[in-house]
Amino acid sequence: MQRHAKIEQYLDLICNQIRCKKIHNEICEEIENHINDQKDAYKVQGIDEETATLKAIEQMGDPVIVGTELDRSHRPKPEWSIIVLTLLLLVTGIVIRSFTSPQDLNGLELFNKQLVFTVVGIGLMILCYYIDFTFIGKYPKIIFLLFTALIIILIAKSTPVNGRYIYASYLLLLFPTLFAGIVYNMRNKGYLGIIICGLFLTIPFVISRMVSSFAFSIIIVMSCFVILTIAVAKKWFRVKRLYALLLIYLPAIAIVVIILASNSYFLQRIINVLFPSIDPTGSSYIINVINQLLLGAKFIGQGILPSKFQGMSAAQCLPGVNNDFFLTYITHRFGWVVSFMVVILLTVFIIRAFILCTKQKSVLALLVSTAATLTIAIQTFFYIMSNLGFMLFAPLSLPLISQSSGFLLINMSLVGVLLSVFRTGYFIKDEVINNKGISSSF
Amino acid sequence: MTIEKRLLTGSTTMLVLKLLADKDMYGYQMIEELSKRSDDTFNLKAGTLYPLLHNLEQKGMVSSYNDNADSARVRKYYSITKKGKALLAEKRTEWKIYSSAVNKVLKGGATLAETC
Repeated sequence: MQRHAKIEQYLDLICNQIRCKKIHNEICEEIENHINDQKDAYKVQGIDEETATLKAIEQMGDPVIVGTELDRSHRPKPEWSIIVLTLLLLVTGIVIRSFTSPQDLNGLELFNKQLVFTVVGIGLMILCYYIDFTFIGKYPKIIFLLFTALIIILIAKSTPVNGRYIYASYLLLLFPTLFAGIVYNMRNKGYLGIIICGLFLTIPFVISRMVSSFAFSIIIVMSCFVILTIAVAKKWFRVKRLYALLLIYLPAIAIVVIILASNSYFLQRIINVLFPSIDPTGSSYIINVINQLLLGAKFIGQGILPSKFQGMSAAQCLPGVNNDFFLTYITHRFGWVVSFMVVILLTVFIIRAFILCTKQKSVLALLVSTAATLTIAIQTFFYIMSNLGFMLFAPLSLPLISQSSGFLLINMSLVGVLLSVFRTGYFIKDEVINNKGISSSF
Repeated sequence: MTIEKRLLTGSTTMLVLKLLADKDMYGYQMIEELSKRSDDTFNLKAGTLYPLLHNLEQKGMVSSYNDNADSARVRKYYSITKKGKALLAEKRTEWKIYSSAVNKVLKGGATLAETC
């Protein structure tokens, strides 16, 4: 239906006052509906169409005042809790590492390098914060494939270390967030939509199996599955929830079983975790060192080093005290209380982020923010587990805290995406699809 | 009689919350209902209502959803939240204290006038 010129003019005047463009459509629709309702009411009273329209507009009130008022309630707000927690985590990491770095071989050099990367990371975070995250929902396939191409180029150009391409692996951690955009675009596409999502998920999964350690694959797959499950729970695909979940999880379980059965390396890991005493100097050497260090750790202060490490410092027995086993090391060096504080700070960050995710109104905002939070949360969980000696998966990084420039940049980007969603996500709503019209076509 | 606008502004939030406590409504419906229940005393302008509603939504007092339940138009319905119900209770108590105090003063003035 063609809008009346006067109504158009009135709506434009209101919108001109509202700086947050994302909300314009929604407000226009609401106000226009109201004017039409009022107009219909006047027409029932016997007033002609034209006069009824003008009277209805007049009844609304001054558009500039209304628009200004609306602008006040829709001003994008930065999510300070997440910003403050992020900075606290970065500072905590830097302060603790300033004590532990000198213990490591060229540790000081790495410490300084990490300082530079922290600044770069903050820049990346600010960049992602200002980028409108809804583009993930607008061009998901193009972005997904561009990233895939970028990763393949990186693999071709870089040399592997121990069969792993670490730069490509870092980038893989962005896939769950991009995957959220794919899922968002499969609205009402039924079981086929779920299958298409599955095919897209296969891309980062296969790449990660070829170039990264197992932990990357697991983080990507777990995050993406949670995203899919949320979408099913929200009836996003318009299919029966039970069948949809079976369609998602039956193949997934089958693949996991096949991989576990064919992967002797993983079985070895389980054996190492359960029976670390079988091969204490070989494959379960690190788990043994971790267990010894944690046994000797005090509540506060330097822990005791068992006699069999005589003559060696903990930093010499345990590789990667600033990156892979930072948490184990600081437990030994400064006591449980310090690692507890670090873990609690990260947990607060993650819980706060999840709470904010649940407050999002649009499915796109919900999926994107949940995917980014999950990527950080699962990383944290694996890291803590492995640093306690349950090393089923390799520790990647303790997000924002442990030494690693690549992970830091990726995690800071994810925080930036989160902040971008939390800044404007509340204003975005998914288009309403006329329920009755669609169900008849099924 | 239409009430002076200044008198209405202070209590609009309470009235809107009360309407939503009874059932979910869209903006136009609220204005109609308010007018009906107050025997045409309260004639709320849409230009006042929507900023108020959007503000309440930002603060988590009400939530909104789109629905096309009773007509071809998709309407934005508002529904009161737990937090909103608590605010309504608070506003009610405030109102009771305020109105009884105003009444006492008005009555007091009357008796004073009589005795003089």
